[in-house]
Amino acid sequence: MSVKDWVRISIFGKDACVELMSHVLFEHGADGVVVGDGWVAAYFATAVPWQERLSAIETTVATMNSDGAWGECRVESEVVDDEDWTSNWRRHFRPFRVGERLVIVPAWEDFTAGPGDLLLRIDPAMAFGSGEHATTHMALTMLEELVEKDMTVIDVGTGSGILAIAAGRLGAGRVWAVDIDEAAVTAACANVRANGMDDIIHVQQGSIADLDVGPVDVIIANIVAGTIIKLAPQLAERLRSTGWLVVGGIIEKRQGDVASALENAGLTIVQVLQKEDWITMCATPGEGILWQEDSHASYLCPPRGDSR
Amino acid sequence: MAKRVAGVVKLQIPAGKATPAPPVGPALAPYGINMMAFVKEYNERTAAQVGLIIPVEITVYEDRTFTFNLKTPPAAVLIKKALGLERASGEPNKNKVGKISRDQMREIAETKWRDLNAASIDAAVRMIEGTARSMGVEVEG
Repeated sequence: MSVKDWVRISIFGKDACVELMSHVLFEHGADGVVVGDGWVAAYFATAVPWQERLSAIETTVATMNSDGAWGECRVESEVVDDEDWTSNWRRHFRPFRVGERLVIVPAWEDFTAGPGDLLLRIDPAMAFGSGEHATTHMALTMLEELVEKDMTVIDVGTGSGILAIAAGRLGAGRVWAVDIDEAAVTAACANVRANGMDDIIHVQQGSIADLDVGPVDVIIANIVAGTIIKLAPQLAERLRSTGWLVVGGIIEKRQGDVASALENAGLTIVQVLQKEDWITMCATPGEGILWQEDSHASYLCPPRGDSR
Repeated sequence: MAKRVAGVVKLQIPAGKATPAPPVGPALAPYGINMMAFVKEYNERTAAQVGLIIPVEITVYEDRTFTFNLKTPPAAVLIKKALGLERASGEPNKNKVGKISRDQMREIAETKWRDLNAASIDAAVRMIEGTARSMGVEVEG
């Protein structure tokens, strides 16, 4: 069954005039536009009477193009199927491995685990975290090295819940996952359930401040630089003295800012991973003894040499 | 060997506020790239420009990876920002909504210079002037 939620309104005219044509769409409430050679298009929810909007756009275009400067100009509309784009993307999402043991499997795929494989069944829905993005990939790599049996873990900005589920699969005894985004919480809850981890992972809408737990062994915050900087003192407070903080989603140029914030919060950075333009760091309130900088290395400082 | 390009997608979206909803979703989904990955990266790269529309040109490769270039905001957006306008005129020939100075237009032309196909800065100013007039903004001088 298809759900027709959107109307696509396109304006066609001279290529040199697309900026003005997109201006018309923004003036009429567009949240964004797609630009092509000699056309622009915006999507409007059909929940709002769109025929009136279409008519208003046509009037504005006729007024602005009264001198014919935009060429043979026309406005077209088409109601589009909301499912087309979500399902298209899913078709390309295939099982893949991260690190030694983790295997990310789309929730709708059949997959037989090999010996030692730890499966994470994920449907990202509208939340971040399919495991394909460099930041998630690096965070998973670090978790595989850090998380040991019965550890306690907090996942801040859980998105699809992929990192919380990975922590659970790796043996964590209790995981608390928070996200301020309602869609993410919905997706994370569904994924936790699909992985049979309801009894280990607690998902909650909100921020770390809303959690009444800690200190814990591992905190993971794969979010964005600005939020990590803001939360750094709270993240440090919730860590055991022997604990580990993994922060990711940091664009390369913000690495220094995040590092300063973590150090100001009393943490020592012990590991830095980089993939493409993205940085993931591991920090601890304890002594950082294994710092090493090597942009080619995939892993720099096993935190506990005798852990496995 | 260079990766083969599957397509180029051009979007104009609000800085720091992209979502996988349209237009991002329908524009990128046919290429099979992870929308949330793009959304996260776009929002992070444009976080300092919230309030502006930042056009982006996304090159998608056949292996479903992508790169993107951010462009300067559309001239109309910069004109509205310079004049503190909420909206442009619906009838630019009759109803004027503001007045822009030569200096303001020159500043906008310089901001947009790298994305404009103009032979000189004066030609770029004339392009900005055309946009201003189309918005119902009077041009000084």
